[in-house]
Amino acid sequence: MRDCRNALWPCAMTGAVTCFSGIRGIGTIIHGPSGCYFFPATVLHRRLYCTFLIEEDIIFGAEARLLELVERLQGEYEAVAVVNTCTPAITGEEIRTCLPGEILMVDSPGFLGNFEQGYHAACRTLPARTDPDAAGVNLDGLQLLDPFCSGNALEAQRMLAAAGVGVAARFCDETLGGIRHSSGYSVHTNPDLSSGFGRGMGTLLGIDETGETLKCLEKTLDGVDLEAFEFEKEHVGNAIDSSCEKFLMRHDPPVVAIFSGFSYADFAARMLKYYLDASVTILGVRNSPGISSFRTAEACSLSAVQDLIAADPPDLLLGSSFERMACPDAAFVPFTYPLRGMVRLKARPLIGIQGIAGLMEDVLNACLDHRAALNT
Amino acid sequence: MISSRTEGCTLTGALSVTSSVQDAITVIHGPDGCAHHNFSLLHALHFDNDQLILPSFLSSSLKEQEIIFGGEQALEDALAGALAGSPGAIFVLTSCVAAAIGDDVMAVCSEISGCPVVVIPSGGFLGGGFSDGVRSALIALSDLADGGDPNGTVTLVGEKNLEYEAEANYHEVRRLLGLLGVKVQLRFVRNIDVSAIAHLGSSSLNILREESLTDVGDVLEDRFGTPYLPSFPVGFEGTLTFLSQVADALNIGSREAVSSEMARQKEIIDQFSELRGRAINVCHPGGMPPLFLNELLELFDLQVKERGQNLPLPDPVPVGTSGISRMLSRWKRVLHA
Repeated sequence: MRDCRNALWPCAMTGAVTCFSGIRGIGTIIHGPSGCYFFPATVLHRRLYCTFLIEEDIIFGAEARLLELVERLQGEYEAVAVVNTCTPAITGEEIRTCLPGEILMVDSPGFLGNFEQGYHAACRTLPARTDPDAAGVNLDGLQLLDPFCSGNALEAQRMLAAAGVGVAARFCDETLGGIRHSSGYSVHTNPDLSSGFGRGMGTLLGIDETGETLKCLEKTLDGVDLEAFEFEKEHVGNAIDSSCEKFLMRHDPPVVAIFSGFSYADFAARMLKYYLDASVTILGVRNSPGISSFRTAEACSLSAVQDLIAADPPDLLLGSSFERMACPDAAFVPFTYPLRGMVRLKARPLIGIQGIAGLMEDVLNACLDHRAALNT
Repeated sequence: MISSRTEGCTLTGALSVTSSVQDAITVIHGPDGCAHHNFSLLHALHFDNDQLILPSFLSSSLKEQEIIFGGEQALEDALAGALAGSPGAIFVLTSCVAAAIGDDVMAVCSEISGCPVVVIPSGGFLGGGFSDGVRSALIALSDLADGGDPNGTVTLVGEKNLEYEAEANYHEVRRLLGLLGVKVQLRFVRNIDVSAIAHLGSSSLNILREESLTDVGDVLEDRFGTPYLPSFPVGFEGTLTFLSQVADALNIGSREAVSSEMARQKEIIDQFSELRGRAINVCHPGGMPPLFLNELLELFDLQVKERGQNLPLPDPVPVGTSGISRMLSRWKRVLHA
């Protein structure tokens, strides 16, 4: 029986808009009604444009309206992207042929799939080019809806700079000029959102994985030095070990449920198992589950989340504010979009050394606060 | 029907109403993306309004297959899922996708028994805009009401469930009605159960949140014979007029209430005397300045000048005496008066 109670993840249209709006220099048009426009405009905080269709446009055609907006934006932006929405896609309006010049066009109506599918479809249209003279590596997997996006970009730049590696293009939080001069190599910040540009050199999600990625870069590029990374890895690793050891002297390991995209969720589960011997009840993933040593299930609706939590109640929850409300009795660590009802201003990484340090800090503090609250 | 292009989705307007019926479930006949957009929006706004509950939506999850072959089976499945939760009622909203593929939603819903099912033909943007959705939902939900003899109470119709000041505005109207000894029987529709809607026809007076809801007021007057006031009170003078109008409609005296409120307003005017004679510039995007603004300009001898201090004008406009008082506090802060 089909029962999608309170859908928790945005649609393909939003994914496509997220990709384009991350590239400065692209004017992004949502070809649809205001209802489709307001959601991405609200959550992405980027300038977006819309044809604001009404019923008459569907009856009499909306090409002229779209054409007018495209022509206006062509004078303001280096490139224009058009993301088609559900109803124009159903009515089958042939908009591609009526548009002048080179337009980035994605037919990404919401009914075609989820956020990731739209994001990948838009990535395939980006006019990225490999520049043989571009130094360093591209950062991949940055998307504006991710609460770790800006933190991951900063942490990646910091660690790579310490290793003597520059950053070329950042997919997808970059200028249009930047992606036209991208490197032939990429490192991932979130493997779920690979743009496909550059040869993958590994991921920065996790300390060991970051070490492996830097070694891979050392073999490929000149002048890569791992000394700073190794020093920081040992120093921060010891600090995390010691904090976790102290926590476990007085408390049982947490029983944790993790809700997020697959790669982030699997990473957090491995870290919590490694440092705190946590029991991981479930990885509830918003996108397609991958291969994991933990029990994994899709969690794209509130009913699915509630069922997974009820089947094996956690005392620690990593997820969005939806999960926080679904399980108010557990300690909570903000981990995925959306994060309502809290103020989050600073850039927080999940990748690299500071990412794991931040994750374990948040987990330990949430558990300590929660247990203190239970004891009062 | 010409609707504002930038008003937002009919579905969102209708959901702002249906999601406030606490023991009902709303089925959105459309893709999951539409459900998520609206669920996420309401989730955020509920946090702003200190309502730590999640609205209950269920999506028929229309995908490409249903676009090609029709989505009626998907709706049937979703309705079965909704029924399994034994809700007080099921509200069915249609998205633009459902409208575009032409599903016969009424026929599917007519097969359901054991629970009231109310179809609200929202149709996403194909049904108009946000305010059309609000009106359609209020009118559709009134089908759950019975008639009844007028009992001297009032019903508030169409409170703006998504506005930040919704509860503050309700408390102000309730306070004013309290001066007349009048009680609010029903908030149609805000934080109520399905069973409460049955009382809709027994109030002696309906008070609409704003004048754009007069269609709804007319429908309720035709159906139950209940007269209505077109909006919540706006401005000092408007608030006194509101008291008189409520009293007239209910055949009760208003002299004491009006006198008491006038005294309160005088205190507030004195409290903000530092504003007198200040040079200001008030932004009121999209239309004529509201009447209550002229009243304030005169009362405080405010000088409107191009280079005057820019002052915020709330949208929607402040409700009652308390709303004006809070707006003046914000002006005072900006003017450092």
